[in-house]
Amino acid sequence: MAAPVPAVRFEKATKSYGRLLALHPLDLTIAPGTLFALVGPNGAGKTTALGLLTGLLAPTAGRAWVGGFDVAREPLEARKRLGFVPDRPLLWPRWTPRETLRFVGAVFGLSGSSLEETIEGELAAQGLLDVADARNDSLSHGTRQRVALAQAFLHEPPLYVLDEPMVGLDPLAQRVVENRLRQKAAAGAAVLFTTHQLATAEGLATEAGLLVAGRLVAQGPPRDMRTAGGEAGLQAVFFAAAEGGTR
Amino acid sequence: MSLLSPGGVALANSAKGAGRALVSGGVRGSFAAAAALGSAAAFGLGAALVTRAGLSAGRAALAQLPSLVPEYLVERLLFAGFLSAALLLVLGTLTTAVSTLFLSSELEALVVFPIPHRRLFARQVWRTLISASAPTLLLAIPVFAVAAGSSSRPGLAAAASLTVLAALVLAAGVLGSLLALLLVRLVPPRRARLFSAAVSALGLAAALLGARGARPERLFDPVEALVLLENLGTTAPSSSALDPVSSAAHAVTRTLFGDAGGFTVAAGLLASSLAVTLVSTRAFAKLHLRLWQEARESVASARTARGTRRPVRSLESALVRAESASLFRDASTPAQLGSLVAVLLLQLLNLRLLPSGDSASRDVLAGLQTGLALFLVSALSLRFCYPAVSSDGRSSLLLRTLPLSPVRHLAIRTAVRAVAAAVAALILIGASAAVVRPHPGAVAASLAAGLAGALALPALHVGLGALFPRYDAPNAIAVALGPGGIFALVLSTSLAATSVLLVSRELRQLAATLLGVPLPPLALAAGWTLAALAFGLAPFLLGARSLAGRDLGGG
Repeated sequence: MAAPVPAVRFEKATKSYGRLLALHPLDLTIAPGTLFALVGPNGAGKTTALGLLTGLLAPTAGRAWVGGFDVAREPLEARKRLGFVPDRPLLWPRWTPRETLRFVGAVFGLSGSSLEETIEGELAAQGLLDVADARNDSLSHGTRQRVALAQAFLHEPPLYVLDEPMVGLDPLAQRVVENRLRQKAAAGAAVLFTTHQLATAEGLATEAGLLVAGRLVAQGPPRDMRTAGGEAGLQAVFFAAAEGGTR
Repeated sequence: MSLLSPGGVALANSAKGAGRALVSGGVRGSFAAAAALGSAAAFGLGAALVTRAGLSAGRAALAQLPSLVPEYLVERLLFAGFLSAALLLVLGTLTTAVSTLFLSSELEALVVFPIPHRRLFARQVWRTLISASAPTLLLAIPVFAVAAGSSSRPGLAAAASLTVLAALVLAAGVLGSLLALLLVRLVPPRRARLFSAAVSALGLAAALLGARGARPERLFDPVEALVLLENLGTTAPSSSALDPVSSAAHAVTRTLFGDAGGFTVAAGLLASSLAVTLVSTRAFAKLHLRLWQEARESVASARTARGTRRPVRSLESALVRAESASLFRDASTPAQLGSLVAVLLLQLLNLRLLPSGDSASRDVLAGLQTGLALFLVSALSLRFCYPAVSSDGRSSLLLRTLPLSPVRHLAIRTAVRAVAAAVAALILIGASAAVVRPHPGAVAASLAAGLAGALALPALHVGLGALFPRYDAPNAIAVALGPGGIFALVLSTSLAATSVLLVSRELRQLAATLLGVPLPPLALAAGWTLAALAFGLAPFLLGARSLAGRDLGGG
């Protein structure tokens, strides 16, 4: 039987900003059904890596694939397969959450009563029914983040790319998002998310990668990671790497 | 239920959003929306009335001058109008396009969706065209509606005029958008926006100077005006098929005078512009995507750039530095400075043409120039000082939590702006005095009034801006045009207008005669100074008090 197509694949993906090498050649494969946490200190290159997957940035060298489609060569096919939440929610200020979801649904080819039902379901799942018809610019940061998440979940993509998805969410909403991501992964979708909450990464992710100064310095199931001194866990590895030592 | 395409859904959402802003934006929002619609209607009506009056006067004049051919005059007028509109559209589109093509957060949200980039690029170009051409269309449509109404074939003339206008907007807009691509290829978008705003303002200033340099006042001399009209109205304008502007003017003139053939040319021009737009949006989409991605990178690399900074010595120096950065990094500062230089040059040109042979005329001129200088400072102050507090936006929440006295902070905000205002006022008044050469007493009074006024006006505007802050306003212009801003302008204009009496003995005597009360110079100076002090201090203190006690960021 042929191996399943990876949900994400980076092959020597590199990004430079002028003389600054923000992402050293990155080789990484994420299989369907994986919950992958990309962690690292500020400026480590996490958002840059996600930018290469979503097409917000073009790689200086190397390539990135989503579901077997090269992001640079077949961007539309790649984007059809991902749901993206940026590091700050980008919403049309004068639209309402319901209108936003209706537009996103239409972009992904949904229409008619099935779209309306999906929107209702997503609004209910994110606890947004009360504010579904309020203007986006009147919503709090956390509520806007929930709208952005609903936008990503709406079309049931095989890959979720989430940049700091828990920022601004209350514990209840965080739990809802974590449970939904677990369900999606169990159903075969891959989830790639960045976070600064190491406990969240350890609790949620089935696999993690640690980026430091643009290099992937550690990768594996979070609880199996080890420092050079033998200390176990993602948090120990993070602090060891971020403070100068690596595995 | 949604059965629309993504574009249709977006359009429907935007229409609903605009409707909500009109009906459910609260009393303030509805008032602002109604005021904007009312202003647009009044502007259109004004343009239509002026055109109607011009047509009547023109007809009456031409009846007395049978040697002139009306078609030649109309075509030349249209040529000049279309050329000016095209230049303004290119300049306006350039600035707008840098924002819509490179700095739009909406585009950032859309890029990750499976939408072909050529469609996204075309969408942003169309948005640019619509935003940048609105003022031109607001003026041109009523003018052409009235002109077409007085033609022998009104429907045809209106259709041809609108077709040519659409062609003009498309061609100039696409050119401006492509220039924006070129500019962003050379410099990062934020700098490109500053640069294009400065180019637009300087272009406008050059056009104003050019118009002034042509000495339009000579048309008040009937002999000179007649010679000019005979030159323009007895020889046919040269029209070339390769020159789209002259072809457009010729086509519209033909339809205005009942010749249907003009419409074919107008339709051809629109088809060409449409073809250029469609081809360009396809051909340049890839380049736009690359530049857009690089522009995001330039933001990221700018974050990593390090500069050497002088150490901060005290809280005051830190605040002065911060306020200076806020003032001089304002996106439109270079453009406003360009306009100010143009206004100064225009003012000096005017002075050279006004009668200033005797001392009484020079005295009157010195007084009027002082008032004018303070009025200009007042307008600039409304733009740069009134929004000083509102421009904090959400940072106001942070400011409130800092151990920083609102009075002290407001005083520094005012001082930084007052220095700039005083420099502008003294340059304007000094240059005028050097040209007019009034008696020394008038020069001293003029400089003193200019200095006092230029110190009071920023305090008045900063104070009122603190009293009526609008932290959620989209930009500084929107803040300045709010109800508090209009109130500030009325107060500051009255201060500027009364300053003429401090400087000019002749105008003082005229006012005393008209009012029937004596106006002794010392008492007048004392009263004006007290008023300036009150205008500056009262709103300042009320504003500072309001800043300390107002509720912020509820919900």
